[in-house]
Amino acid sequence: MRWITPYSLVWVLVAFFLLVDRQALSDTLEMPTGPVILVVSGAIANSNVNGEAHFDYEMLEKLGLVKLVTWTPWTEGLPEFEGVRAADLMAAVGARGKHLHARALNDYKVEIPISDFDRYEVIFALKQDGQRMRVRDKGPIWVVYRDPSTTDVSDKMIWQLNELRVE
Amino acid sequence: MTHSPQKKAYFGLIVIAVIFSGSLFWSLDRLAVQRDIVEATRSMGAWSAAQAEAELHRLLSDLDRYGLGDPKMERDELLLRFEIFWGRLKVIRISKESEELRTVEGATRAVDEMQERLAEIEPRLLALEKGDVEAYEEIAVPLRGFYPFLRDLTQYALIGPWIREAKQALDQAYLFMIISFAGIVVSTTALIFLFLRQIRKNVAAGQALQEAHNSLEQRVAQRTNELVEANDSLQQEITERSRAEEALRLATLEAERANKAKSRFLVAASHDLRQPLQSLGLLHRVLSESITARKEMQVLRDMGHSLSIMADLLNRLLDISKLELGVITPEMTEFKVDELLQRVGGPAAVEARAKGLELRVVPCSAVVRSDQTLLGRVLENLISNALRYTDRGKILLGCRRRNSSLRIEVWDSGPGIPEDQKRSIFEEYYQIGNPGRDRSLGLGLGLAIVERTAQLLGHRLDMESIPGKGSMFAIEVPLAEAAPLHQVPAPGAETCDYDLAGKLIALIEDDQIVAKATQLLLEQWGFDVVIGADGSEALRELRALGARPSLIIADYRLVGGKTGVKETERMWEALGPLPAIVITGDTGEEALREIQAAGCQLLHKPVDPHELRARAYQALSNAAAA
Repeated sequence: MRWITPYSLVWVLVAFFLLVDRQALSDTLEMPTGPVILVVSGAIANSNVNGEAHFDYEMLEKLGLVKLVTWTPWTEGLPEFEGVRAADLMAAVGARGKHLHARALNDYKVEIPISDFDRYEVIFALKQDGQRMRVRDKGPIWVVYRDPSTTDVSDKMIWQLNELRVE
Repeated sequence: MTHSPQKKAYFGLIVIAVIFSGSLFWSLDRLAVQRDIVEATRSMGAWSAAQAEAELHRLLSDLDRYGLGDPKMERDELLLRFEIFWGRLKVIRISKESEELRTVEGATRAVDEMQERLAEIEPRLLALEKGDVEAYEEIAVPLRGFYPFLRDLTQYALIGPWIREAKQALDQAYLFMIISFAGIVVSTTALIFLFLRQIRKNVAAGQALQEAHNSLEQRVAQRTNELVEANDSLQQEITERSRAEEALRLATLEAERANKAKSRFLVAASHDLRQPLQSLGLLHRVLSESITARKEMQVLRDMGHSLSIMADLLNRLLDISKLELGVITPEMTEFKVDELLQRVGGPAAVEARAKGLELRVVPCSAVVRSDQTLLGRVLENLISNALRYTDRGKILLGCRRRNSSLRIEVWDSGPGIPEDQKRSIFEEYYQIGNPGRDRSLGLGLGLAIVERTAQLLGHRLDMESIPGKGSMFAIEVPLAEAAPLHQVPAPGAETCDYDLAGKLIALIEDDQIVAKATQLLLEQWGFDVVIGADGSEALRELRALGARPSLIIADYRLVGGKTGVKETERMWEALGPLPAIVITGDTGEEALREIQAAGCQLLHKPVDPHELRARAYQALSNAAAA
């Protein structure tokens, strides 16, 4: 085998490390490039900053956006929401807990059971009626449940969300 | 027992209670809903207004810091506060929870104005430099102008008229609930009252029943107690009675046993006494017939008198003992009563004369059925009694017919018998007027013997007495239906129609003295006598003489367990049938039966010589007649 030379061995090693590195990259999250709009901490497998998963809008958008049309006590008519499926976000961070301690920009706090994401259709909405939600419009992220007819559910619909802690 | 009015009342009350319960539940539900609405609307409405106010405060605070040049205050953060406050205004303008707030007159418009103002402020805020006080003031002043409205809105959310309406609805629900509850309480109370009344009635009825039951039970218990007591006392009485009866039975047994023992003693004693007495009697007769001297004759007569009294006493003792022991069986025959009267009256008349009394025997032609000997003994006793107690006057012996019986009466003119002693006189050893127990007056057995003998014969005994005038004793003897079959010659009759001389008598007697006395007596009467201690000895004597006796006289009890009857039978075997007289001191029924069964004549010891002589004659004449 002529190609087995010291150079080729080096390339093999480089390729190996690259593979390993890719593996490592797949375990961790890519670093946010834009403004961080969501920080996920706690019992998560995937992180990017000091054991926390910091997301900018693009990272969240890359997780795949789904649409959800529902009424809410705080909107008029039937708005069309667009956001990350909650279960997808949990998978992205490798959540290993049962609860999400959610915190909003206005310091509103609520606890969301992760099991809700199996029982209900829940999205971390980024857009309403095709428009990115501004903070004044309950952005940047609004946890939207489909058909929040009871206060038990609507209370968990935290808007202006910017922090999650998985426990 | 029907309670249809009560049932109707129950039914009605239950229906009312159910209706009120339904209305209560409805009102409770309504109340809960109303309260939820009120609470939700009030809290949410007030909360959103208050939140907006709070966010305004935060925005102004951050704006102050930024405008005054606080180095820690970032522009982005200030902008975020601005955004958040705007978001709050939007919530008041749009959200469901703020619906009530929006009903406030001018509220919507005010919020819209505030948003328009914010839109004006926004470019200035974005352009605001840190520490630019002038620009900051331009922004802050209009923002501060938002405060009063938001405060009013919060106030209104808490106490506004809309909440009054909601509260009115709530109060109505409350009122409805209270009415329902009161209705339930009233109807339930009425139900309970009715129920209690019925229970009380039932209880009262039950109590009455219970009382009746109790009183019945009490009565039953009382009766039971009484019965138990009665039973107890009866039981006690029975026990006492049975104890008394047992005691009586034992006493009777004891008395009978004592009596029997006494009788047996008397029989034994009299038997033992009889032997020497008989010897005495025989010897006395021998003497009296051989002595001719006057002086000795007198002594002999006195001696004979004493002997006869003694023999009499002994005989009486024996009689009563035999009666007591019940060994005498009467031999009922039919005979002329006159003969008996004469036989008894004869000797008595002599005795009466000796005492200076007159005894009359009234002749009687009647034929009676009785035991001649025993009846004779009764009469002898009665006469002897009369003689003994009568000092002067008369004694009468006579008869009177009464239906199918003959009443033989003995009258005396004696002192009579006091009323209180009429029963006692028939008891043994009882004597009237003989406290010193003078034995010449007898033992006091006479009437006892009379009574027992009368009982034995089945004859009724009667007695009448008038104290100071005299007494009458009577015995009722049944009359015979026909003439007497045969006639027994009166014992002691001296008449003899054939010659006794040379008649040989075999005397079987083991007691030599008695044998000698008897031999002497018999020889004086002209008999020849052969003596033997037993049959075989007598037979030997007879063979020696080569003679055959005409009569056998034997003592019953002989030495070596031999009896006169057996010895007589032995003689009969050797000599053929001969008349025989067996003399016995034995009173045992066995002995008497044996003697009678053998066909021998019976003589009791002590033998009265006269009787012996009479019997001997009788036996010989009967044999001659046969």
